[in-house]
This record gives sequence, C-alpha cells and structure tokens, in this order.
Amino acid sequence: MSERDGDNSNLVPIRHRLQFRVLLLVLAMVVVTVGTSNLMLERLIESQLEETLARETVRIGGHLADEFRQPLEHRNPTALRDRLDAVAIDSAVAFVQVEDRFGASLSQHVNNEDLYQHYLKRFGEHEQAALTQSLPTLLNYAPAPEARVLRTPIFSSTGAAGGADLLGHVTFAFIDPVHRATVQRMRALVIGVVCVACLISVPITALLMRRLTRPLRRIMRAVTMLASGERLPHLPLRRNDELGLLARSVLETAGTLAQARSELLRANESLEQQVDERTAALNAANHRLELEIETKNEFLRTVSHDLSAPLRNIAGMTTMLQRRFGDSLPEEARHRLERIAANVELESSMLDDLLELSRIRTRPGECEPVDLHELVAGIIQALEHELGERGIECGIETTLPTVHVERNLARQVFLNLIDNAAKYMGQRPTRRITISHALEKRTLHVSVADTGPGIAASDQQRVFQVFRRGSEAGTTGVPGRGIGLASVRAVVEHWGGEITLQSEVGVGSTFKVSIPASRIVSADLGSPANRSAA
Amino acid sequence: MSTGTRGGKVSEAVILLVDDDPDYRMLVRDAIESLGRPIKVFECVDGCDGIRFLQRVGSDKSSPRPDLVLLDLEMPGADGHEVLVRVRADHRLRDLPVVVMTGLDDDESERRALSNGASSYTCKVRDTQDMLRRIEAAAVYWTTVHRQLPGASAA
Repeated sequence: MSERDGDNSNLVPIRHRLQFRVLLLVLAMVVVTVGTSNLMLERLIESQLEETLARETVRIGGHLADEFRQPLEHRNPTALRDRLDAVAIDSAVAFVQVEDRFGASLSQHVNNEDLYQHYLKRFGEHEQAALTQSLPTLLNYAPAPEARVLRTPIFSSTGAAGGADLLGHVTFAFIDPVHRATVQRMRALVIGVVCVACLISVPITALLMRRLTRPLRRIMRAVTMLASGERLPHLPLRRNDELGLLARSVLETAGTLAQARSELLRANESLEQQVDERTAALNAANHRLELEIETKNEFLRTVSHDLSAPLRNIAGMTTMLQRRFGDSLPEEARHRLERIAANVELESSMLDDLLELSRIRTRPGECEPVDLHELVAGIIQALEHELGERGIECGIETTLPTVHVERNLARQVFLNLIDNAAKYMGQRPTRRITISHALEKRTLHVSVADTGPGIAASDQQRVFQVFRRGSEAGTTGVPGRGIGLASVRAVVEHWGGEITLQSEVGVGSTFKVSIPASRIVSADLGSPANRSAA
Repeated sequence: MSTGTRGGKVSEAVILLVDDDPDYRMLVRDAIESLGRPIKVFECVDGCDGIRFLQRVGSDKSSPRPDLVLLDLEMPGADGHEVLVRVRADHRLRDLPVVVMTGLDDDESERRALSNGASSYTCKVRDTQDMLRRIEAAAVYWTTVHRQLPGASAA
C-alpha cells in the first residue's frame, strides 16, 4: 500500500484498490475455511465424546445394578443406603436413585440438585410407561450436554433372564468432567487458529499482492507514458507470467509507437521543408512579380510624364500663335491651328487618364471608413444638372454600407460608373440608373444598373480595356476617351475585388462591383431604403 | 550659360526663369511679355546656371537681383531642390521669392520643395489657357503686389 501515488496522478484515482479487495477476500476465505473445518472437527470430537460417555454410563449402570441387587433382594434399606452413598462419593455421579419395581423411590443420593430436579420434572410425572421398562434406557436430555442419565432395571440373580424378577430400577446421572473442558478447549483452539490464520494471511496476502500490483502499476505508468513519448520506466520483462507478457507487449507497442512517431516527425520535417521551399519559391515569384509591376507602373508613369512636356509646349505654342498672330493669319492657317489645338487637347487628356491610372496603382492614398451611401448620393447630387437635362432618373435602392477604402478612389469608381451610364443612355424610352447592393457570405456586391442600349457580348470584355470603347451605334458621338472603366477596374482589383458586367442589347447594363466583405465597416442590412438622392 | 539680355534698368521688375526646356522658356517669356508690363525676363538653362546667376559668380558678376525666380524641379546637374537649398542658405537671397513651376504633380515633390524654402508651388498643367493664367498671375503677384507689401524686401 506504499505505492507512490504521485506517479499516477495522471491516472483516474483508484477508489477500490485491487490489493484491498483481494485482502478482504482472502481474509473471508481464511475465516470461513478454518472456522468451518474446526467446527466440523469439534462436532466430530464431541460426538466421539458423547459415544464414549454413553458407553461408560451404560457400563457403570450395569455395575450399579449388580451392586444394588443384593440389598433389594434382601429388602435391607440400610445396606441399600450404604451402597448408594458409597457409589455417590464419586463426584462424576450427579445423583443416584433406586426405585422399586413400581417406580417409587426407595432411596436417593443427590450431588447435583439442578440435574435431579430436571429429571424428576421429566420422568417422575410424565413418563410412567418408561418406568416399567425392562431394558436400560439412556436419556439424552439435560441442559448440560456432558451429563447422561441412565435408568437400568435390576433383576433378581435367580433364574434365567426370561424368568428373573424385576426388583426395581437404578437411575443415575453421570457427568464427565473431561468432556466439558475438552469442548471448551476445542472452542478456544478454533478461535485461536482462525486468528492466527488471519494474522498470517494478511501480511502474506499483502506481500503477494504487492508483488503483483507493483509491476502492474509500473506497466500502467508505462502505458500512460507511451502517449507522451517519454523514456519508459523499468518494466518487469523477465517475469514468466501474464505480467511479464503484458510488460513485453507494452514494450513492443512502445517500440512500434516510437518508430511511428519518428516516422511521423520525419514526414513532418520533410513536409515542413517542402512547405518552406515552396513558400520561398512563391515569395521569390511574388517579389519578382511585384518588382515587375512596380517597374511597369514606373515606366507608365515616366512615359506619360515625359510625353506630356513636349505636348504642353505644342499646346502652349499653338495658343500663343493664335493669340499673337491670329488676326494676321489667313483663315485656312487659323483653322489648321485650331485642329492642332484640338488634337493636342485630346492626346493631353488621354495622357492625363494614363497618369491617373498609374497613380491608382502606385499611389492609392489611404484607406478610411467611407459611407458609400453618402458618397454615391453626393455624386448623384453633383451630376443632378446633367442627369436632369438628359431626363434620367437616378436613385439608390438599398442603404449602402460603410466600407474601408480610399475615398478618392471610391468616388472615382462610382462617378465613372454613373457618368458612363448617363452618357450612353441616349434617347431611351425609360431612362433610369439604379444603385443597389447585396451581401453574400464573403463578398459585397454594389450594382449600378441602367436601362441604356446595352453592350454586345463581343464587346463586354473590351469595355474595361484602356482606350477601348464598345463599337455599338449607341456609343458613337459620345464624348469620352474610353479610360473610365479601365480605371474603375484597376481600383476594384486594387481593393481585392472584381468588376463584372451583365448586359443585354436593348435592355440595359449592370456593372457589379464585388469587393471582399471584410472591408465593410458597418452594414445596415435593413429593408431597402427610400433615401433616394436623385 | 545664360541667355537673354542682362543688366537691365533697376526700375523694371526682373524675373529669372530657370528651366532646361528652351521651348517652355520661350512660352513663359511670350506669356509674360504678352502682359504688357515692364517686366524683364532672364533665363537660365539649368540649376548650376541659376545658382551662378543668383550668386553673381564669374561672368554673371553684374547680374541683377531678380524680383521673382520661376524654378523648374527636374533639371540636369543641380535640380530645383538643390537650387532652393543653396538660395536659402545664402543670407542675401533668403527673402527672394522663388516659385516652383514643375511637371511633377505629386504631394511628395510639393512637400519637399516647400520645406526647402519654395515661396509657392505651381504645376505645369496641360491646359494651355490655364497654364498661361498661372504664369501671368505668379508674375503679376510677385513682381508688383508682393513688392508693395510692408516688410517685403524690395530690390
């Protein structure tokens, strides 16, 4: 019981220890076995004793009958009395009583009054029939089992047994003093043996159990440690029993586990290495790509910047020419000058757009929470005059959320989309631009839908390219340089989203800006709002 | 080297134009001359030339102190920023109005120019009318209005 419980702290606490239970069981077994066998032995000895007692009593009875025949034949009470007293001197005789043949007491000598009273109570009144019996009767009764009462007939010495006269009876109680002592000794012995057996069996059992449980606990600890991969404690491997077998199989399992673990570790390591390699490769590729993009943007920026200087000069010179010499130049020359100025202006603005586009990518500005609803409402407000002139109805259908983006870029996106929709509306029967949003699991969609002429499927990808416009009839005669949607796409992609176009010729177009929902700062997902700002 | 006429009369306002683009210089000169004011324009072809003119070094010993410097930023040799630093480091030129006029329209360039001591920052916008208006406005302000302000150091 002195096992170190601290080692098993990770085990479920054992409420009924095996050791304790076995000990109790062994104790019970010892008590029952030893007790039962001793009791049986006691019974055996007791019955043996009783038999001896009975035999002795009968023998003494016969002898007494001979003793008392003479005085009875001669009807000499004094002699009878003397004999009686002589017999009763023996302390083993509880009482002696001589009766005549009618059962009347002639004389008696009582040493043990209790026994005699008891005898009288049973046989003196109720057992009249037994009194005339001609055979010795052994009466097994009495509160004391060591006592026997014998009633023996006394016959006259003349004649054969059949013709002899019944003179009377002698009744005596015989107590065997050894009997009682023997039985008591036996009892004491039984208790003593049981106690000794218990005393011996407890430590032996404990010792045996310890021998059994200690290796068991070690194995148990080992099994617990298997999972953690620690070094195993000493195991009872050499035992040639079930425990040894268990220990060996635990060791074997530990080996298998360790092997599996090391294999797993190796696999993990190689996997990690692979991941590291791939990550490094990816990083390198990313870096190259970033560098490339940076170079490209820088190139674009430089080109448009350097291109603008001579253009500026051309424009300036043309204006100065017109201003200074306009009056003295012939009409034809003035017209050419105007054309130069117009072309320069067109190219100039294209370069401006290119610069703007490259700025989106190189200098996006800083993100802040932008209330899209407010922003779009503001744009509609700003375009109110233009929209009104064209008879276009423009409204926000849902309460747009607040998103974390660059304010100027967001403005550019929606200004471009709404402006585009208005520009290409033409003379449609219904002229409406609707802005709404929808929230998917991870994406926020903001749609700008118009009832314009629509864009042919073949043109739908081209509209997002720089300096490309749809080739539909509806676009001709519309002032525009075809860079707006390209910059819109650049912005939306910069936000990590995408812009898609759904359009049907003759029905209308819907530009859908989809950006990651993670950019939403707050979303009012209530019912469609009526705060149309057109 | 410097081009244009130097050593004009003191009563005229003097503008020094530092820009490596001859066509742009011509344009600015045209714009200023078209104002019809008594303004004399001097031109320097790059930063080094400008610094020599302002500090009256060598052949520029007798160059006049300008009332306004129109300074380009992107130039070979010493660029506009260096000119600004050198001008502000010279105690005689500390109060000289220097307006930066450049094709660079990013915030960083503007911040840098202003912190280096530029009096004002103007972009060479592509709209010709607008650009001419800017040049004219700068010329008029710095050569007339600014000169009359109390505390302004007149040449």
